[in-house]
Amino acid sequence: MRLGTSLRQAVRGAALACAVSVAALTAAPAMAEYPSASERLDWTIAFGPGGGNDIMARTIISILEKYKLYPGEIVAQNRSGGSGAVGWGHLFNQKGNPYGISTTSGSFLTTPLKANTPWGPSSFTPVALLAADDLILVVNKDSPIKTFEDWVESSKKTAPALGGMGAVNVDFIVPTLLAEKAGYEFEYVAFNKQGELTTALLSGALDAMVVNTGEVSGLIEAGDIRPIAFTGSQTPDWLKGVPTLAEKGYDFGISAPRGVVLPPDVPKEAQDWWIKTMKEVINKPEWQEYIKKHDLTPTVLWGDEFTKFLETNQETFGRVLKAKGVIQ
Amino acid sequence: MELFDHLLLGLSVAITPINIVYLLAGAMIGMIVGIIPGFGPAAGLSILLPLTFGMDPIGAIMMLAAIYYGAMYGGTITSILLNTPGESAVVASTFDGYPLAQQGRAGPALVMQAVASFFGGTVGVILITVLAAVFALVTRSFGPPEFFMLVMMGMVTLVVLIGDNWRYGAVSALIGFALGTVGVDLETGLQRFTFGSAELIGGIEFIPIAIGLFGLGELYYAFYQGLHRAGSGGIIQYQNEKEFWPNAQDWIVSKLALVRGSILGFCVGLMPGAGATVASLMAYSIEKSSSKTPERFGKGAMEGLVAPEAANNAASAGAMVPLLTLGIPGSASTAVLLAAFVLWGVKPGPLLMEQNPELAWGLVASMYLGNMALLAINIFAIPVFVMMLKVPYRLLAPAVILVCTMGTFSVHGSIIEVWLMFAAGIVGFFMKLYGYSPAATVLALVLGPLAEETLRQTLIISRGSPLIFVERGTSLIILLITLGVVAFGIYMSHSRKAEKMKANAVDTSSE
Amino acid sequence: MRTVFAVALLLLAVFYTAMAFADFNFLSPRGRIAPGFFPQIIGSLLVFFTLSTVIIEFRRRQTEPGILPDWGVTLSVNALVGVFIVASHFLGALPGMIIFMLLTLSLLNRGKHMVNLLLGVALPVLMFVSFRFWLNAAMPPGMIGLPY
Repeated sequence: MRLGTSLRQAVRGAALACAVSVAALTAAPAMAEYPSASERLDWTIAFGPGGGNDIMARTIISILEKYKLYPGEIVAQNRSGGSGAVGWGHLFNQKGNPYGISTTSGSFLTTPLKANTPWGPSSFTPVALLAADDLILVVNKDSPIKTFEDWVESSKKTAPALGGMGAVNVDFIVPTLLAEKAGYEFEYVAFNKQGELTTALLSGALDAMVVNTGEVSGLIEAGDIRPIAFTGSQTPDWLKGVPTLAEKGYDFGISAPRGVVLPPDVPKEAQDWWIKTMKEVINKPEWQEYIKKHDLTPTVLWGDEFTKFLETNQETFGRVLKAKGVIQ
Repeated sequence: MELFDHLLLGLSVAITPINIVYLLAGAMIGMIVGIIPGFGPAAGLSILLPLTFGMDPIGAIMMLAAIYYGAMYGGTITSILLNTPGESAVVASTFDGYPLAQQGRAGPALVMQAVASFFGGTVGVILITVLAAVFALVTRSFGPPEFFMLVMMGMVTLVVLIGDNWRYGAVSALIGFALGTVGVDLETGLQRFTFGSAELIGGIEFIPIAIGLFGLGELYYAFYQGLHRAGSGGIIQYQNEKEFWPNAQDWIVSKLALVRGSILGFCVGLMPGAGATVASLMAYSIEKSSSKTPERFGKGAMEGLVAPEAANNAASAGAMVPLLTLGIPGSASTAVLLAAFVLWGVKPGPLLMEQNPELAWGLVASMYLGNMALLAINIFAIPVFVMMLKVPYRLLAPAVILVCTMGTFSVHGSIIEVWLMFAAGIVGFFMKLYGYSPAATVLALVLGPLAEETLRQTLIISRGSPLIFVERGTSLIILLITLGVVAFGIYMSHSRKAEKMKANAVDTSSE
Repeated sequence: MRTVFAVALLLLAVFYTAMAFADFNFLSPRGRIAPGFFPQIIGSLLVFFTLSTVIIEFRRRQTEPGILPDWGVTLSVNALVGVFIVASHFLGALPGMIIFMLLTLSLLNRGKHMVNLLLGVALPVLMFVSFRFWLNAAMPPGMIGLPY
């Protein structure tokens, strides 16, 4: 939380300054009491029920309701379709409406790159980055590869087949950056469904895969697949002994951002109110439990820092994908 | 007997008054939800998942599993009564189920359908109880080459399906394949045929196309024939409904189809991904090619309904194996169940059965109970469905359109998909009118993208060499089975022809 | 009509195939299957088969047999489904459903005004209530902010 505190101070200063200027400019009387208890909060979930984004949104909503942090009614709507293009497109069209809100995930960065959406990740009013969904590089238990060094060495000899979810995704970008820096080639195999990807690794068809830790924790515990390296900044407790890429000298700072955004051009009061409220949310035991259960790395950035993070990440994404000819 | 200990443990967990209430409620809700076109098991589960948040884990998972099963049972009802499959796994049930209903045998068809579902489901659960660990090994041997071979097996069925009217059949299937190429290309991220629409980058889904081609197409066709002017009944000759129960002949022809369909369904269902759809198709084509009277198929052969029904329910049990033993979802529905496990703090994986025996065996035990409950519910509910057909067509048809449209919308909350359904309805009407095959179109839509995806994955893994298909044991086995099925079909049709010729020869000589 | 349908399919097939050849590669520079591989094969086959059906339909040149077709009602119902989707999109699910039911019933079930009115309102309300409150399923909310 070291980063969090210092950021918090910086953001608070900036926020205050902005708040004053915006208030002076607009002096919107309607915004005097945000949030109003009579307005319904429309929470867009850009994916179907049961997915990572859905669970996170519903966790936050249940915390908001349990501790009565939000005065009015909250309605969660799954607006799935087009890898998030539909849901976030809906939020984008609610310009200036402080009663629309949504949760982000990896596709928040990648969908605009592949679909030419009218919005980009920085079009929205940022509230906070709350956590990062990190990946783990794993191999089959029968693989001769035991350590990260083994992996790099054997990859330099023969290009391995590495599986991941989708082509325009963190799953492709992180291994590509790693291969570039470590100086080896690899064949990337894109999958549509996690189940098929995991069985492909178990069947020995793939040499390795990158996957969200939570998806395979059971298989790792049972020893069916072996973790080689973790892409986040800090290895989760139960994976002690698995090195992070940063420890091995490959720090890319890329991950799927799990955060909260409001529609574009929302009044400063609403943004500040949400920053203040989300600060309370992440200190609740339910949130801590959620982070732990889903193996997320708590990575907290507030307001404009979040936008900056999104911009840097998207820039890297765009550069890598263009270089590899995946997007034009 | 460790096995019985496990099962007893499961039953002791499952049989509490409150859990039985959840189970029954789940089965009922699932069945009703399954009947609404658009709400397959997956959509039903994900919509109802939030309802279970407040419950205790075992009760909730029992209820969700019951919804899953119930929806599988319910899905067939519209296939039989309205020729509208709500899910790709029940497309095969329309082939003979709908003709049966048209001939005034909706009652027997629905009863046999429920029996077949029960039989398939129960065989599936018994196999899970006894041999889950062994079957987990099958799942473990499945990579892209094996998937491709499996999809090819399903494609063979398409050929059986197209049959005599091959030119129209080929056009129908190719339309499906073409629709399947819409969306973002998985490997390169390139957009194909999306015309810049964000809604299309995920591809064209089964539901709007199937509901349009079958549901609306069938309705327009009925209007075209002027059925709205008829007093009652309509597409289906309710007036001719003589008896509600299946007759002895129905049981005799279905006996072996039940067994074959169930075992085949379970085995194919073990494989994450294609599972139930391929299973039901294969069961149908095996039944047809092994039959002495294949010409009855497609015109109301009871075994042609029973086999795919037993297969798709057994497959839905089979899909639980990868979920319980490896933590891998085998279908869209089991993916929702997996999410539910995670939600309740259960870590799915190979250790699930050891670490959470109550939950795992409670779930298995609840499947036995659920299947029994569903059989009973079905038998009681079938008269109600058959009664529904008494409603004059001019009143029934608008209601069906209402449900189809809202059902399609609710899947993704997308108005574009509703328009797709609308367009598919017009095309479906003409296809029906002029003898094309909507079934070939929707099956090609499901199988085509899978074939492309898995073939390309395979060739990347093998660095371009097609030999990988024969080098990997499981893939080779599936290839051999497929060739065997094809050879058997050709042999049977030849021997039938020869027999007929012999019979003709005898006839003429005796004259 | 038969020929018209076949020709329409042929035109769509040609359009699809032309796009497949114009926009995508058959093989990637490394000799792998590229995004255009399957679309080009499917498209070519589709053009071939639809062309052959068109030829057959032209040769057939016979009147369609069978029952007296009711084109009027078929087309009207189709148009009403279109109206239904537009109405649901702009006004919301419940008004859309009621409008559709009332119009369709007045077409199909002529003269029975009371029955039509009752069914036309009761059924949509029942659907709406069960979808919204019981199934918790999404329905078109409407664009002009009617309480849906």
